[in-house]
Amino acid sequence: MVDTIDSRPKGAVGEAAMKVLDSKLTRQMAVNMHACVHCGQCFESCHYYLATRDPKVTPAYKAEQLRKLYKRRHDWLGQLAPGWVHATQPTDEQIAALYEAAFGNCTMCRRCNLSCPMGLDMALMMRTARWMLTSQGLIPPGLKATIDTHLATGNNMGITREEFLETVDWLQEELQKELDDPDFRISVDRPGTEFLICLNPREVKFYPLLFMAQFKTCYAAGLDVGLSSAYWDATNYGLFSGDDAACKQIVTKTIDEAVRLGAKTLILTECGHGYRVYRWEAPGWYGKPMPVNVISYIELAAEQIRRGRIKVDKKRNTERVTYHDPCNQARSGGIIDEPRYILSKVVMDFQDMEPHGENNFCCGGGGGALTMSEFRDRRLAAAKVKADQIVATDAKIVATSCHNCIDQLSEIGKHYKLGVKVMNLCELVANAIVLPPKAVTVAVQEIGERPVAVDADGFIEDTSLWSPEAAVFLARRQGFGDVLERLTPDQWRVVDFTRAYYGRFGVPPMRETVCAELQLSKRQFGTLFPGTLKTLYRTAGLSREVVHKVAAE
Amino acid sequence: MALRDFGGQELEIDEDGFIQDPGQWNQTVATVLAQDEEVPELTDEHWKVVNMIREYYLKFGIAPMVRKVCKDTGKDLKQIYALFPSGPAKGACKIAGLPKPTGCV
Repeated sequence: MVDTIDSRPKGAVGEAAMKVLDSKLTRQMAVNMHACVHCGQCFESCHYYLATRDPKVTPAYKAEQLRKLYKRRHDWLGQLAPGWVHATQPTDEQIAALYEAAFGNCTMCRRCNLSCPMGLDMALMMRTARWMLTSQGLIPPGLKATIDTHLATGNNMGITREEFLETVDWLQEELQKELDDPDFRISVDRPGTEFLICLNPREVKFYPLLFMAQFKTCYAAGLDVGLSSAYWDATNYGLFSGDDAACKQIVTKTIDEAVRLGAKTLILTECGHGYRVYRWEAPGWYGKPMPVNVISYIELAAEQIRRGRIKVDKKRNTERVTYHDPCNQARSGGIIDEPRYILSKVVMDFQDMEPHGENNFCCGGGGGALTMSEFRDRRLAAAKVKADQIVATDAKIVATSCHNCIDQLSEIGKHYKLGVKVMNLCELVANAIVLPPKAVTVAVQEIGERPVAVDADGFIEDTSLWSPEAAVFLARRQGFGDVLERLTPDQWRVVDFTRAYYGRFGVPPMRETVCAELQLSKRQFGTLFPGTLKTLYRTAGLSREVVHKVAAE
Repeated sequence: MALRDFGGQELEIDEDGFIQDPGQWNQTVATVLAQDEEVPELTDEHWKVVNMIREYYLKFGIAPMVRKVCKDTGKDLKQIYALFPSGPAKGACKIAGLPKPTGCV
């Protein structure tokens, strides 16, 4: 049952909510309460207003619902002549209006902050208002359930440790196949893990391909990454309810876990508010100097591509892509250049939407709006602004890096019939990654050497005894030193081709054939197998008779 | 909350279209919900997934991990996403009559 102001005894909430406001009156909040000059600059910055033209959803009007209460209590003029300055007692009607403004008509995206000549922080006001209400039990039930689940189970979807570990095991197997590396491991709870990855529970529960994409990136970059099986959730919905105690409890457990495992860096998955929480807000809640660095997966991927640690091929993503900046990551987090750098490297055709970066419009799913089904119609109506932005780019794919944005963008696509595909940035990265032939090299190096009987010219006597191990022996003993000490993947390609060719045609391939088929220059061939063609034929286990017959012809 | 007609039976749904009382679910309800989730027709393959999710929910009171869905139905991830374009949470779980999951969904 939804807890509303109407279900309470009359007047029971107001005074208690005001006491919460009193306790949150920092200097910054007081400035926010006093300094609005009603200039109206914020109107056009708000997606709710632009989509509806309803004056009751302008930032100034929404903030006024809180200011009215403040003035009546703390401002001398508000006490002396309340009607003159629109000061109001915390009546049930006013508390209901505050609920509408803070939960129903604002995603705390902070876009209006940029247009405010007084530099007021709308999100700070609305978050304070949300906590005044939440502390009295007035909170959208979906938002409450998400926070309660996180506090009770350690993650916001109630995934048990057993389920988590089972999924990790499964994805490890899937990645071993995808990476073609049977030795690939996802380490869990390993002391000394350098980078600890925090995931969004939805990646673990419903969207493991995103989980895999991020581990593939780290694998390609050769990073020492791992997971905690206890506190691995990147989200923190206390940011949306204004509940600092919940925020503190959640970040403390995660950071302490990182310390316990000796991690140096937390990598935050593609999670808009999660990044903001851990990178920018957590130091305040943690209460001690941050013992770990915090970076986003996006920063990590950009850095690894820039340093050449990850090879990418943009030809694998050919369709036009646009990028939606999650508000908490871009405007409130500063991650603006990195996704664009990544996209310039992993897709062929990128088109930014306008405006973008710190000026980007909220998708409408911010502030925990996705959990508040009761405001769905408003959420989608306000998203008209975003839909228009997307259409103008003519993109086929909308990429973003936040799970709330992803779902909202998918709903926008459906609601406004945009015909676009919505993807996480990490999916595009993973798709473009060209893995180094490291896995193959490891496998080859493990091939031991097995001596076989050879004739005076170094050819194998009994061709049926040839094996990869024998090839290593046959190659090394020819006296070319390091070049044939260990066979490289390129040399194996030539050997395999030679044997296959002989098997099919009964004669060994000539140098020109090998070069043409394997796209090698003569110089490259000479580097792989120095000396005469016999160097290759000996290694490939052809008999002296066959080779000499060719030579005679 | 609103009421929605499911082939003669009126059920309460939330604004995201999830039915509120999983006990009222039946095949007709699933068929109607499927229309909203880009599943024009529920094939045997769809039913296999939907029934598994529903049975799991009735037993444990929570949506199964997609790992469990894959394991118990013998399908891989790509098949699940292909069957339910709006995903396992908003697609398959909704059609199976589960309430909206917590978290970023």
